[in-house]
Amino acid sequence: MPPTMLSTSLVLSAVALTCAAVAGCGGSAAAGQRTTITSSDNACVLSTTTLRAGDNTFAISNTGKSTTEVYLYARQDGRFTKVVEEKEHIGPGTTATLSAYLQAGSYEVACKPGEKGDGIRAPITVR
Amino acid sequence: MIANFLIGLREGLEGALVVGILVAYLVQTGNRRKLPPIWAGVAGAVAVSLAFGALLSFASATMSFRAQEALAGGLSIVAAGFVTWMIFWMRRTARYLKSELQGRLDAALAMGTGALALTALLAVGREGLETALFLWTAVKATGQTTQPLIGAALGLATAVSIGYLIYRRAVRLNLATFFRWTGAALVVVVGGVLAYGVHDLQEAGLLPGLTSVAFDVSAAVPPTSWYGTILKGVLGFSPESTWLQVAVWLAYVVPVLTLFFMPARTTRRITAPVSTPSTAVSH
Repeated sequence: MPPTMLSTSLVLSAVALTCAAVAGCGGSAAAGQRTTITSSDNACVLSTTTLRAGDNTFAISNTGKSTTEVYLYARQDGRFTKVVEEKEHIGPGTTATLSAYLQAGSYEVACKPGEKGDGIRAPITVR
Repeated sequence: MIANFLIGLREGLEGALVVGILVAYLVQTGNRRKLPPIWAGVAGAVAVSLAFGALLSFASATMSFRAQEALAGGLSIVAAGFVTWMIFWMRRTARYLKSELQGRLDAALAMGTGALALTALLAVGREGLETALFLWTAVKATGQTTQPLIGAALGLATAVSIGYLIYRRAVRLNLATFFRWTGAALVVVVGGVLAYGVHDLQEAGLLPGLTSVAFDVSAAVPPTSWYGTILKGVLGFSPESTWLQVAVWLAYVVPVLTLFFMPARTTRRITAPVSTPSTAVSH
Protein backbone atom coordinates (compact mmCIF):
# COMPACT_ATOMS: atom_id res chain seq x y z
CA MET A 1 0.00 0.00 0.00
CA PRO A 2 2.09 2.96 -1.21
CA PRO A 3 0.39 5.76 0.82
CA THR A 4 0.84 3.77 4.02
CA MET A 5 4.43 2.87 3.28
CA LEU A 6 5.03 6.52 2.67
CA SER A 7 3.40 7.48 5.95
CA THR A 8 5.26 4.80 7.87
CA SER A 9 8.55 6.08 6.58
CA LEU A 10 7.41 9.62 7.41
CA VAL A 11 6.87 8.61 11.03
CA LEU A 12 10.22 6.81 11.13
CA SER A 13 11.99 9.86 9.77
CA ALA A 14 10.16 11.98 12.35
CA VAL A 15 11.56 9.69 15.03
CA ALA A 16 15.07 9.94 13.56
CA LEU A 17 14.80 13.72 13.24
CA THR A 18 13.64 14.08 16.82
CA CYS A 19 16.55 11.96 17.97
CA ALA A 20 18.96 14.10 15.99
CA ALA A 21 17.39 17.38 17.11
CA VAL A 22 17.17 16.58 20.79
CA ALA A 23 20.20 14.27 20.91
CA GLY A 24 18.37 12.00 23.24
CA CYS A 25 18.30 8.57 21.65
CA GLY A 26 20.73 5.73 21.86
CA GLY A 27 23.18 5.04 24.62
CA SER A 28 23.20 2.11 26.95
CA ALA A 29 20.77 1.89 29.84
CA ALA A 30 23.22 -0.27 31.79
CA ALA A 31 26.01 2.30 31.86
CA GLY A 32 27.45 3.69 35.08
CA GLN A 33 26.18 3.33 38.60
CA ARG A 34 22.88 1.57 39.16
CA THR A 35 20.47 2.67 41.85
CA THR A 36 17.08 1.17 42.60
CA ILE A 37 14.03 3.30 43.33
CA THR A 38 11.03 1.65 44.92
CA SER A 39 7.91 3.74 44.54
CA SER A 40 4.93 2.67 46.63
CA ASP A 41 1.70 4.47 47.46
CA ASN A 42 3.31 6.27 50.40
CA ALA A 43 7.08 5.96 50.10
CA CYS A 44 9.99 6.59 47.76
CA VAL A 45 12.95 4.42 48.73
CA LEU A 46 16.38 4.57 47.08
CA SER A 47 19.08 1.94 47.47
CA THR A 48 21.57 4.74 48.01
CA THR A 49 21.36 8.52 48.26
CA THR A 50 25.02 9.20 47.46
CA LEU A 51 25.89 8.77 43.80
CA ARG A 52 28.97 9.17 41.66
CA ALA A 53 29.06 11.85 38.99
CA GLY A 54 28.69 10.53 35.46
CA ASP A 55 26.28 8.05 33.91
CA ASN A 56 23.65 6.88 36.33
CA THR A 57 20.88 4.37 35.88
CA PHE A 58 17.83 4.12 38.09
CA ALA A 59 15.85 0.89 38.15
CA ILE A 60 12.36 1.87 39.24
CA SER A 61 9.74 -0.54 40.50
CA ASN A 62 6.20 0.41 41.41
CA THR A 63 5.12 -1.66 44.38
CA GLY A 64 2.04 0.45 45.10
CA LYS A 65 -1.56 0.18 43.92
CA SER A 66 -1.69 3.37 41.87
CA THR A 67 0.15 4.36 38.73
CA THR A 68 3.26 6.37 39.53
CA GLU A 69 5.77 8.75 37.98
CA VAL A 70 9.39 9.29 38.97
CA TYR A 71 11.10 12.63 38.44
CA LEU A 72 14.71 13.62 38.97
CA TYR A 73 14.93 17.31 39.84
CA ALA A 74 17.90 19.66 39.92
CA ARG A 75 17.94 22.95 41.78
CA GLN A 76 16.69 26.04 40.00
CA ASP A 77 16.33 29.40 41.78
CA GLY A 78 16.90 27.68 45.11
CA ARG A 79 14.15 25.09 44.61
CA PHE A 80 14.18 21.63 43.13
CA THR A 81 11.99 22.33 40.10
CA LYS A 82 14.23 21.70 37.09
CA VAL A 83 13.40 18.31 35.55
CA VAL A 84 16.58 16.41 34.64
CA GLU A 85 14.77 13.21 33.69
CA GLU A 86 11.35 11.69 34.27
CA LYS A 87 9.38 8.52 33.72
CA GLU A 88 5.60 8.69 33.44
CA HIS A 89 2.86 6.06 33.57
CA ILE A 90 4.59 3.36 35.59
CA GLY A 91 1.76 0.92 36.30
CA PRO A 92 1.50 -1.07 39.52
CA GLY A 93 3.72 -4.15 39.41
CA THR A 94 5.80 -2.86 36.52
CA THR A 95 9.34 -1.56 36.33
CA ALA A 96 11.02 1.22 34.39
CA THR A 97 14.55 2.43 33.78
CA LEU A 98 15.66 6.02 33.94
CA SER A 99 19.11 7.08 32.78
CA ALA A 100 20.84 10.39 33.33
CA TYR A 101 24.28 11.88 33.12
CA LEU A 102 24.70 13.66 36.44
CA GLN A 103 27.19 16.31 37.44
CA ALA A 104 28.21 16.74 41.08
CA GLY A 105 25.59 18.54 43.14
CA SER A 106 22.32 18.15 44.99
CA TYR A 107 19.25 16.63 43.40
CA GLU A 108 15.85 15.38 44.46
CA VAL A 109 14.06 12.25 43.34
CA ALA A 110 10.28 12.54 43.43
CA CYS A 111 7.93 9.57 43.33
CA LYS A 112 4.42 10.65 42.37
CA PRO A 113 1.94 7.89 43.12
CA GLY A 114 -1.36 8.93 41.53
CA GLU A 115 0.58 10.98 38.95
CA LYS A 116 -0.03 14.34 40.61
CA GLY A 117 1.37 16.92 42.97
CA ASP A 118 4.94 17.46 44.09
CA GLY A 119 5.41 13.83 45.03
CA ILE A 120 7.34 12.15 47.78
CA ARG A 121 10.81 13.66 47.71
CA ALA A 122 14.11 11.92 48.41
CA PRO A 123 17.24 14.11 48.38
CA ILE A 124 20.37 12.73 46.73
CA THR A 125 23.94 13.94 46.57
CA VAL A 126 26.17 13.40 43.57
CA ARG A 127 29.94 13.66 44.09
CA MET B 1 -4.84 -4.37 37.75
CA ILE B 2 -7.39 -1.52 37.67
CA ALA B 3 -4.62 1.09 37.42
CA ASN B 4 -2.96 -0.72 34.51
CA PHE B 5 -6.38 -1.20 32.90
CA LEU B 6 -6.98 2.55 33.08
CA ILE B 7 -3.61 3.35 31.47
CA GLY B 8 -4.44 1.04 28.56
CA LEU B 9 -7.91 2.56 28.24
CA ARG B 10 -6.61 6.12 28.28
CA GLU B 11 -3.92 5.51 25.70
CA GLY B 12 -6.25 3.73 23.30
CA LEU B 13 -9.47 5.71 23.60
CA GLU B 14 -8.72 8.67 21.40
CA GLY B 15 -7.31 6.74 18.46
CA ALA B 16 -10.28 4.36 18.65
CA LEU B 17 -12.64 7.33 18.60
CA VAL B 18 -11.12 8.95 15.52
CA VAL B 19 -10.81 5.69 13.57
CA GLY B 20 -14.36 4.64 14.58
CA ILE B 21 -15.80 7.89 13.22
CA LEU B 22 -13.69 7.76 10.05
CA VAL B 23 -14.75 4.18 9.29
CA ALA B 24 -18.39 5.02 10.03
CA TYR B 25 -18.16 7.91 7.59
CA LEU B 26 -16.76 5.77 4.78
CA VAL B 27 -19.38 3.07 5.38
CA GLN B 28 -22.17 5.67 5.55
CA THR B 29 -21.15 7.16 2.22
CA GLY B 30 -20.87 3.73 0.57
CA ASN B 31 -17.09 3.71 0.34
CA ARG B 32 -16.22 0.44 2.04
CA ARG B 33 -13.59 -0.11 -0.64
CA LYS B 34 -11.64 2.77 0.90
CA LEU B 35 -11.34 0.92 4.20
CA PRO B 36 -8.19 -1.19 3.50
CA PRO B 37 -5.87 1.85 3.40
CA ILE B 38 -7.36 3.01 6.73
CA TRP B 39 -6.70 -0.37 8.33
CA ALA B 40 -3.22 -0.36 6.80
CA GLY B 41 -2.62 3.02 8.47
CA VAL B 42 -3.76 1.64 11.82
CA ALA B 43 -1.66 -1.51 11.40
CA GLY B 44 1.36 0.60 10.37
CA ALA B 45 1.03 2.75 13.49
CA VAL B 46 0.76 -0.31 15.75
CA ALA B 47 3.71 -2.06 14.06
CA VAL B 48 6.02 0.98 14.15
CA SER B 49 5.13 1.72 17.78
CA LEU B 50 5.64 -1.87 18.93
CA ALA B 51 8.93 -2.20 17.06
CA PHE B 52 10.32 1.10 18.29
CA GLY B 53 9.10 0.41 21.82
CA ALA B 54 10.72 -3.05 21.77
CA LEU B 55 13.97 -1.51 20.59
CA LEU B 56 13.94 0.91 23.52
CA SER B 57 12.82 -1.71 26.04
CA PHE B 58 14.98 -4.67 25.13
CA ALA B 59 18.02 -3.41 23.22
CA SER B 60 19.27 -1.35 26.20
CA ALA B 61 18.65 1.75 24.14
CA THR B 62 17.30 4.74 25.96
CA MET B 63 15.52 7.84 24.85
CA SER B 64 15.67 10.89 27.08
CA PHE B 65 12.35 12.16 28.35
CA ARG B 66 12.99 15.35 26.39
CA ALA B 67 13.25 13.44 23.11
CA GLN B 68 10.20 11.37 24.01
CA GLU B 69 8.11 14.42 24.94
CA ALA B 70 9.28 16.32 21.87
CA LEU B 71 8.29 13.38 19.65
CA ALA B 72 4.91 12.89 21.35
CA GLY B 73 4.19 16.63 21.34
CA GLY B 74 5.23 17.04 17.71
CA LEU B 75 3.12 14.06 16.62
CA SER B 76 0.13 15.42 18.57
CA ILE B 77 0.25 18.71 16.73
CA VAL B 78 0.64 17.02 13.33
CA ALA B 79 -2.21 14.62 14.22
CA ALA B 80 -4.38 17.59 15.25
CA GLY B 81 -3.77 19.12 11.83
CA PHE B 82 -4.74 15.93 10.00
CA VAL B 83 -7.88 15.26 12.02
CA THR B 84 -8.97 18.88 11.51
CA TRP B 85 -8.48 18.39 7.80
CA MET B 86 -10.50 15.15 8.02
CA ILE B 87 -13.42 16.92 9.74
CA PHE B 88 -13.72 19.47 6.96
CA TRP B 89 -13.00 16.91 4.25
CA MET B 90 -15.91 14.77 5.48
CA ARG B 91 -18.23 17.72 5.36
CA ARG B 92 -17.13 18.82 1.90
CA THR B 93 -17.44 15.37 0.36
CA ALA B 94 -20.91 14.97 1.88
CA ARG B 95 -22.09 17.88 -0.24
CA TYR B 96 -21.12 16.05 -3.41
CA LEU B 97 -23.10 13.05 -2.19
CA LYS B 98 -26.31 14.99 -1.93
CA SER B 99 -25.87 16.92 -5.13
CA GLU B 100 -25.31 13.61 -6.90
CA LEU B 101 -21.95 14.71 -8.17
CA GLN B 102 -20.58 11.19 -7.89
CA GLY B 103 -17.63 12.07 -10.10
CA ARG B 104 -16.51 14.86 -7.82
CA LEU B 105 -17.00 12.66 -4.77
CA ASP B 106 -14.83 9.98 -6.34
CA ALA B 107 -12.19 12.56 -7.17
CA ALA B 108 -12.20 13.86 -3.62
CA LEU B 109 -11.99 10.32 -2.27
CA ALA B 110 -9.16 9.41 -4.61
CA MET B 111 -7.28 12.48 -3.50
CA GLY B 112 -8.10 11.93 0.14
CA THR B 113 -7.37 8.22 0.55
CA GLY B 114 -3.67 8.59 1.26
CA ALA B 115 -4.29 11.46 3.64
CA LEU B 116 -7.07 9.52 5.39
CA ALA B 117 -4.71 6.57 5.88
CA LEU B 118 -2.15 8.99 7.28
CA THR B 119 -4.79 10.48 9.58
CA ALA B 120 -5.61 7.02 10.95
CA LEU B 121 -1.91 6.28 11.32
CA LEU B 122 -1.25 9.49 13.25
CA ALA B 123 -4.37 9.21 15.40
CA VAL B 124 -3.25 5.78 16.57
CA GLY B 125 0.51 6.32 16.44
CA ARG B 126 0.47 9.57 18.41
CA GLU B 127 0.24 7.76 21.74
CA GLY B 128 1.63 4.60 20.20
CA LEU B 129 5.21 4.75 21.42
CA GLU B 130 4.16 5.53 24.98
CA THR B 131 1.61 2.71 24.89
CA ALA B 132 4.14 0.29 23.41
CA LEU B 133 6.72 1.13 26.08
CA PHE B 134 4.07 0.59 28.72
CA LEU B 135 3.00 -2.73 27.18
CA TRP B 136 6.57 -4.00 26.94
CA THR B 137 7.27 -3.16 30.59
CA ALA B 138 4.11 -5.09 31.44
CA VAL B 139 5.44 -8.00 29.36
CA LYS B 140 8.77 -7.77 31.18
CA ALA B 141 6.99 -7.97 34.52
CA THR B 142 5.29 -11.25 33.61
CA GLY B 143 8.13 -13.12 35.37
CA GLN B 144 6.77 -11.87 38.68
CA THR B 145 3.18 -11.01 37.85
CA THR B 146 0.90 -11.15 34.82
CA GLN B 147 -1.54 -8.63 36.33
CA PRO B 148 -0.07 -5.55 34.59
CA LEU B 149 -0.15 -7.21 31.18
CA ILE B 150 -3.71 -8.48 31.62
CA GLY B 151 -4.81 -5.08 32.90
CA ALA B 152 -3.16 -3.16 30.06
CA ALA B 153 -4.44 -5.55 27.40
CA LEU B 154 -8.00 -5.38 28.77
CA GLY B 155 -7.78 -1.58 28.85
CA LEU B 156 -6.71 -1.40 25.21
CA ALA B 157 -9.38 -3.95 24.24
CA THR B 158 -12.01 -1.84 26.00
CA ALA B 159 -10.85 1.26 24.11
CA VAL B 160 -11.16 -0.62 20.81
CA SER B 161 -14.63 -1.89 21.80
CA ILE B 162 -15.75 1.66 22.59
CA GLY B 163 -14.46 2.73 19.17
CA TYR B 164 -16.51 -0.09 17.65
CA LEU B 165 -19.65 0.90 19.58
CA ILE B 166 -19.24 4.49 18.39
CA TYR B 167 -18.96 3.18 14.85
CA ARG B 168 -22.12 1.06 15.28
CA ARG B 169 -24.04 4.03 16.66
CA ALA B 170 -22.67 6.44 14.05
CA VAL B 171 -23.60 4.31 11.01
CA ARG B 172 -27.24 4.38 12.15
CA LEU B 173 -27.46 8.16 12.44
CA ASN B 174 -28.61 10.08 9.41
CA LEU B 175 -25.84 11.89 7.62
CA ALA B 176 -26.77 15.41 8.79
CA THR B 177 -26.92 14.36 12.45
CA PHE B 178 -23.74 12.38 11.96
CA PHE B 179 -21.87 15.47 10.78
CA ARG B 180 -23.21 17.88 13.30
CA TRP B 181 -22.31 15.67 16.25
CA THR B 182 -19.17 13.84 15.22
CA GLY B 183 -17.69 16.94 13.60
CA ALA B 184 -18.29 19.19 16.61
CA ALA B 185 -17.18 16.46 19.01
CA LEU B 186 -14.00 15.86 17.02
CA VAL B 187 -13.13 19.56 17.13
CA VAL B 188 -13.25 19.44 20.93
CA VAL B 189 -11.24 16.19 20.95
CA VAL B 190 -8.61 17.73 18.67
CA GLY B 191 -8.45 20.81 20.92
CA GLY B 192 -7.51 18.42 23.73
CA VAL B 193 -4.87 16.68 21.59
CA LEU B 194 -3.37 20.07 20.76
CA ALA B 195 -3.31 21.20 24.40
CA TYR B 196 -1.80 17.88 25.42
CA GLY B 197 0.85 18.19 22.71
CA VAL B 198 1.68 21.70 23.88
CA HIS B 199 2.17 20.34 27.40
CA ASP B 200 4.54 17.66 26.08
CA LEU B 201 6.55 20.33 24.25
CA GLN B 202 6.61 22.42 27.43
CA GLU B 203 7.95 19.40 29.32
CA ALA B 204 10.57 18.93 26.61
CA GLY B 205 11.61 22.53 27.16
CA LEU B 206 10.77 23.51 23.57
CA LEU B 207 7.94 25.78 24.71
CA PRO B 208 8.02 28.01 27.81
CA GLY B 209 5.55 28.32 30.66
CA LEU B 210 5.50 24.82 32.16
CA THR B 211 5.22 26.21 35.67
CA SER B 212 2.59 28.88 34.83
CA VAL B 213 -0.38 26.80 35.87
CA ALA B 214 -3.82 28.15 34.95
CA PHE B 215 -5.76 25.73 37.11
CA ASP B 216 -5.09 22.62 39.11
CA VAL B 217 -8.11 20.48 39.90
CA SER B 218 -6.11 17.27 40.35
CA ALA B 219 -7.44 17.04 43.92
CA ALA B 220 -11.02 16.86 42.59
CA VAL B 221 -10.19 14.99 39.37
CA PRO B 222 -7.27 12.65 40.16
CA PRO B 223 -5.50 11.77 36.88
CA THR B 224 -5.45 8.08 37.81
CA SER B 225 -9.17 7.88 38.69
CA TRP B 226 -11.58 6.35 36.17
CA TYR B 227 -13.24 9.68 35.44
CA GLY B 228 -9.87 11.40 35.17
CA THR B 229 -8.94 8.66 32.70
CA ILE B 230 -12.05 9.15 30.57
CA LEU B 231 -11.65 12.94 30.57
CA LYS B 232 -8.02 12.61 29.55
CA GLY B 233 -8.59 9.83 27.04
CA VAL B 234 -11.50 11.48 25.26
CA LEU B 235 -11.08 15.22 25.72
CA GLY B 236 -7.34 15.35 26.43
CA PHE B 237 -8.24 17.16 29.63
CA SER B 238 -5.31 17.68 32.03
CA PRO B 239 -6.44 18.35 35.61
CA GLU B 240 -3.37 20.53 35.90
CA SER B 241 -3.19 22.81 32.86
CA THR B 242 -0.80 25.59 32.01
CA TRP B 243 -1.90 28.99 30.71
CA LEU B 244 -0.37 28.20 27.33
CA GLN B 245 -2.46 25.00 27.11
CA VAL B 246 -5.64 26.90 27.94
CA ALA B 247 -4.76 29.64 25.42
CA VAL B 248 -4.01 27.14 22.64
CA TRP B 249 -7.18 25.16 23.38
CA LEU B 250 -9.33 28.32 23.16
CA ALA B 251 -7.45 29.64 20.11
CA TYR B 252 -8.21 26.36 18.33
CA VAL B 253 -11.68 25.34 19.51
CA VAL B 254 -13.46 28.72 19.30
CA PRO B 255 -12.55 29.68 15.70
CA VAL B 256 -12.67 26.11 14.34
CA LEU B 257 -16.10 25.41 15.85
CA THR B 258 -17.31 28.73 14.50
CA LEU B 259 -15.94 27.85 11.06
CA PHE B 260 -17.46 24.40 11.31
CA PHE B 261 -20.96 25.72 11.89
CA MET B 262 -20.88 28.96 9.88
CA PRO B 263 -19.32 29.03 6.42
CA ALA B 264 -20.91 25.86 5.09
CA ARG B 265 -24.04 27.92 4.47
CA THR B 266 -22.11 30.56 2.53
CA THR B 267 -20.33 27.95 0.44
CA ARG B 268 -23.54 26.13 -0.26
CA ARG B 269 -25.28 29.26 -1.41
CA ILE B 270 -22.46 29.99 -3.83
CA THR B 271 -21.52 26.56 -5.14
CA ALA B 272 -24.57 24.38 -4.73
CA PRO B 273 -27.49 26.13 -6.38
CA VAL B 274 -29.24 22.80 -6.90
CA SER B 275 -29.90 22.30 -3.21
CA THR B 276 -31.45 24.55 -0.62
CA PRO B 277 -29.45 25.10 2.56
CA SER B 278 -31.72 22.85 4.59
CA THR B 279 -31.44 19.85 2.31
CA ALA B 280 -27.80 20.18 1.40
CA VAL B 281 -26.46 18.00 4.17
CA SER B 282 -29.54 16.00 5.15
CA HIS B 283 -31.07 12.92 3.66
